[in-house]
Amino acid sequence: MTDAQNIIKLVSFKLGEILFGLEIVDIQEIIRMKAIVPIPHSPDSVEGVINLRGAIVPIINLKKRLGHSLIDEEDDLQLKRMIIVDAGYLKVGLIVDEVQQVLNIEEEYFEIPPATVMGVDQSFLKGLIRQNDSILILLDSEKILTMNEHNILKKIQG
Amino acid sequence: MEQKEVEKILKGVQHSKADAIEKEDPDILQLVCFKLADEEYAVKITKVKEVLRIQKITPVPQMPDFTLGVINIRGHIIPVFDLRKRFHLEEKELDETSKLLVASTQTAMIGIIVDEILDNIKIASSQINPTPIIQLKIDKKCIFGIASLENRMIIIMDLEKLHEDILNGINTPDLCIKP
Repeated sequence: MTDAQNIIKLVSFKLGEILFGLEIVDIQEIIRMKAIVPIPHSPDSVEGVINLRGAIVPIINLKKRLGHSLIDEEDDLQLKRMIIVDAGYLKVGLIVDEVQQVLNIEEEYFEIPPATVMGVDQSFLKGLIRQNDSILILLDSEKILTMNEHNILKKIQG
Repeated sequence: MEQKEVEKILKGVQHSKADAIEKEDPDILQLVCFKLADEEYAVKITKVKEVLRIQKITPVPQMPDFTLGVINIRGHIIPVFDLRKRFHLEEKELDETSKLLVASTQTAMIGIIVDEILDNIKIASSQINPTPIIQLKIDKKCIFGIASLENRMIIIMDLEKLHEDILNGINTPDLCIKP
C-alpha cells in the first residue's frame, strides 16, 4: 500500500465544461435528481429542499453559487446529480452537471492557488490540481455556503 | 505573424537572455515588444519566461473579468490576465496572432494576453523617458518608462507594479464580486 497521507481522494465532476472536485471525506452520498420543494424568499442559489430518507436537506445550485458565467442553457438533466456534503454543521446537496470519477491524487499535484486568483471571497477554493494539461478546481465543502445562505438554511433545518 | 517568425523571435529571446545574464550592462536594456490595443508595449527580457500560443484556460469562479483563469504549463499553475479588460480598453477576440506572454515577478509567475509579439530590442537607458503627464491607456503606476526610437514609441511596463495592481483589483471587493 502507498502512503495514504500523501494521497488526496476526491470525486471529480463538471459544471459546464469546467472540472471540479470535492474530497471524498466531505461527501456523504451522490444521488440522482429528485423532486425539489422550493423555499420562498430564499437566496437565488438555494433551489429548495429534498426529503432524503426522512431528513430535510437543502439543495444548492452550485453553478449559481459559483457564478453566472458557468450557467449554460443546454444542461443534460439525465447526467445531473446531487452531491450530499457536509457544509459545516449542516448537510446540503449540491447540484452538479455530471459526476465523473473517483481520483487518487498525489500531493505533489496539489497546489495552493496563486494569490491573484484568491480574492477575498475565495475561501471555497481549497486548491488546484494539475492533471496532464488541464486543471481541476478542488472545492472546500465547508466553505461553499455564504454566511447568509448558512444562516437561512440553519433556520430551515431547525 | 508566421509561426516561423515567432519561433525566430523566441529563439532570439532565449539567446538574448543568455547574453543578458552573461554581461549585465546596467545601461543597456533588452526588451520584448508586443502590441496591445494598437499600441506598442514592452517588458524586460529577463522577466519573460516564455511566449505561448493561446491554450485552454480554466476559469476560476467568482474572479473579476480581467482574470481569465489558470493554465497548467509543464507542471506550473499560472494565472492568466486580460489587460484589455483590466484597463478597460476596447475588447478584441483572440486570433492567431494573440499570444500568451508568461513572465515572472518577484512573488509569482503571471501570464498576460497580448495581441501580437513584435520583436526584441536593445536600447540604452538614456533612450528611456520617464512617464509623461499625458493620458495613457493603461494605469501610469504600471509603467516603467517610455522608449522613443526613430519612428516607434514603446511603453515599457513595470511587471512588479502590474502584478500589484492586479492583486489590488482582486482584493477590492466592489470591483471583484460579480452579481
